[in-house]
Amino acid sequence: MKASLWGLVVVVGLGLMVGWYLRQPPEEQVDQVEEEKPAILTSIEMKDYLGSVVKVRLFAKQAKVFEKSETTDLSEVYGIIASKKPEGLPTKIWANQGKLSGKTKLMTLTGDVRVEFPEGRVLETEVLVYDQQKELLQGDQPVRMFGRGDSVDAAGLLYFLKTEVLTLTLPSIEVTL
Amino acid sequence: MKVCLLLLSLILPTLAFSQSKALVHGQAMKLDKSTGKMLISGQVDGYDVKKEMRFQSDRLELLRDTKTDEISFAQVNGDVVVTQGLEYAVFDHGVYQRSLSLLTMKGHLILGNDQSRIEGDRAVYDTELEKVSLLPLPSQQLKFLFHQKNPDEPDNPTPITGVADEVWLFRELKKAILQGHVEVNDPTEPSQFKSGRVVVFFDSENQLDEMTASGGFHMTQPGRSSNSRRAVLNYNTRLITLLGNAKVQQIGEGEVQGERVEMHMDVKKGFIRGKRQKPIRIEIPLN
Repeated sequence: MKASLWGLVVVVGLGLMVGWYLRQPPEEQVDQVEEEKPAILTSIEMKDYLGSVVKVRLFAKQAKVFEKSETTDLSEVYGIIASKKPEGLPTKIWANQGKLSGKTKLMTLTGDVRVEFPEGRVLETEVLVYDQQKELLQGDQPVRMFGRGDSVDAAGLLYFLKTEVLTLTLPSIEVTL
Repeated sequence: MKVCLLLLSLILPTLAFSQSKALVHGQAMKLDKSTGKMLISGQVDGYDVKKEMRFQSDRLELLRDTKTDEISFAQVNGDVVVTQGLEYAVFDHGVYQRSLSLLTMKGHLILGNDQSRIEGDRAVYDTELEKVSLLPLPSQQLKFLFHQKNPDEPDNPTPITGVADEVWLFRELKKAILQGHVEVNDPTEPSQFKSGRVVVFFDSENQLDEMTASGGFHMTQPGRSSNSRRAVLNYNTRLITLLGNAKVQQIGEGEVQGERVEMHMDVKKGFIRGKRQKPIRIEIPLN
């Protein structure tokens, strides 16, 4: 009798323990993704070709190449965009940083971005995106452009390299008459 | 009358030597680097601080000389309004070409100030000669309105209206030339005269000072009819001088002929004074 009672107690006890165990929330599983270590290159030069012609030459003091994400972080960027005209002068670009995306073919330039157009106008902004596929420069940050008798402050810009047409939104222009 | 210059000095770099600057705002600015053309569009609003001039339009296009950077061409389109103080110019389309020193304004053109107003279709401003020529639409006439001094109420000048085939404005000279089938109506007398050509002089307040009619002068007033080759209407003295084969018929006072006849604008004050060697001939009806 005593033995069967003890057996019952043990069974009930085990049942409670199993029930308690099953009620416990599962332990959180923390993904431990290792940060991708980039390949670091210094004093680099990159070239973008159109056929056999160099369309864009890009220089940077340092490049961090992330292979998996297909991105490259650049610092102290200097770019030369060739003119569409055979004898035309190039457009030059400077920026503190740049981020190249291999997937989207976009290059985002940030920090003291400066563009010097061949005719002498200079454009300054903080963020500028260069779309390699569409061949355009785009920015939605405040822009300042000066030179050739005009000084412009605008809310954003769009520059089609193919047509050489620059559009500034909400411009405020000081025109020398 | 001065208003054409407003546009010049604002958009248009006729006074480039003064290095004046205009602040221009718009919704978008398009710069075509292949042509150098700059297009500002969408509620374009410009202001020249130095000259205190404002201009508004739908679009403004500027082209700079590639070598000198001077604006060589400017174009404004759509509901153009230029103002400076009390002066204004309204039109649809304007073009300035530095090489020709010409500014052309077209479409529903109105030039005016607080004392005058001219309506037409187009105007050409010669920036070197500072002369504006206004023309109407084909088969129409220019309409004008000037104010004359009112001796009884100096603060309330009275208007004179009329039409002409062509008008020339000379800003610096404060002068206008009305040409071709000129008709002038003065509602105060009331009177009306027709002439081939009328030179208008304005005073410092832009009010009518004097009109000189030539190429035939024919005036009708209640009870009086006047003809001559030329005539001078002085709005300060309120006197009219008829010159050259002058002939005046006034009911109750007969007819006067002579080489030079002077009479009051107000018919009730009558006339008349003849001058020069040739005697005037007066016919007085004997009732």
